[in-house]
Amino acid sequence: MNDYSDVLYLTAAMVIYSFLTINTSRSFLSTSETVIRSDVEYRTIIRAQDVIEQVKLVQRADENMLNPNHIDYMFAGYPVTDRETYGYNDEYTDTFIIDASSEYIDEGDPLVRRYKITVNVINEEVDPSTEVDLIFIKSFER
Amino acid sequence: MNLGLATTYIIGGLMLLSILAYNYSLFNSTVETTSSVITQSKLDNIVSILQNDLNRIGYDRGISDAFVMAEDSAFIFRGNIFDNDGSDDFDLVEWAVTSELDTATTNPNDIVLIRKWNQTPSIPANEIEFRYSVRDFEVNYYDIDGNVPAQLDDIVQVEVEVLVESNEPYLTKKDGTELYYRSYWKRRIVANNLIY
Repeated sequence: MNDYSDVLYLTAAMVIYSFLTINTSRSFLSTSETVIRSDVEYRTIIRAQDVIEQVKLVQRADENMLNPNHIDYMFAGYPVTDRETYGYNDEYTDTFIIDASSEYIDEGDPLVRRYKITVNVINEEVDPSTEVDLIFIKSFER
Repeated sequence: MNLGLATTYIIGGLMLLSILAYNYSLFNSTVETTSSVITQSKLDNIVSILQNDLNRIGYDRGISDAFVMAEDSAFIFRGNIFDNDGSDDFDLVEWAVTSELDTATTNPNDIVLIRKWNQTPSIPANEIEFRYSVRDFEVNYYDIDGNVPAQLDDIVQVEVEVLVESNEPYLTKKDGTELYYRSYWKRRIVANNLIY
């Protein structure tokens, strides 16, 4: 009888030990995933910022580039998929789905025309994917 | 030997091996997580200063040219880096990556990235030098249309790529290969003062 109780004690100890190790491992896996995701999110935000930097370059004479109904609309071909390689020997790759749109803000101001630029970037290198939305207001003085 | 005692030794030994293996795995995981956080923080420090500098290129430079030198591993520019810093004139800032190995870390891939900042360019002795450890640093320049500029005056966009690695390896394989955590940043910045 004593032998059986020892086996039961040992089994219970091993079950508890297993639970502890599994939970600790899960916790560490979760931490690692968070660290990796933060790196991916970092790069995703940069892509959205890059699009906004290009909008900053649009000058008053090229205002039509922000008009969705004009042939010169700069986001006509969006969404676009962009693959970027990086690293010392270009050994890493990131894939971004970049979408952007422009919307005229009718404020009735005769002196200023404003456009609301919305940029959405998705990086599917991680599961679930990372998504970033940035909004930028571009103003043109008339 | 008593069968029960032998069985206890075997089971106890297995448990001990399991605990040791778990402890080893836990240790590695902790080292990797710590390395990654330190590396990200290291990159974040460089990026914060770099972004501030890049956005200030050409600011308050008067009639002087914005760029003094622009190469793929280094650039020197004029610009007022901080407002209300007691200096009315522009500052002179240089970012340059060297081929010099950084001996401050045990990572054999680390090279030195230097930032030189002089608030009073007419007095070279006032130059302050900052040193950072990076794995790679590369700069590309573009004009307003996104093409390679013909001359320094045509530069409107600056694209910078920074790759940093952890100072210490988070894992050393049996064959001696050391693995370092990497963090990367690449951005193309349009300096407001170069557009018009």
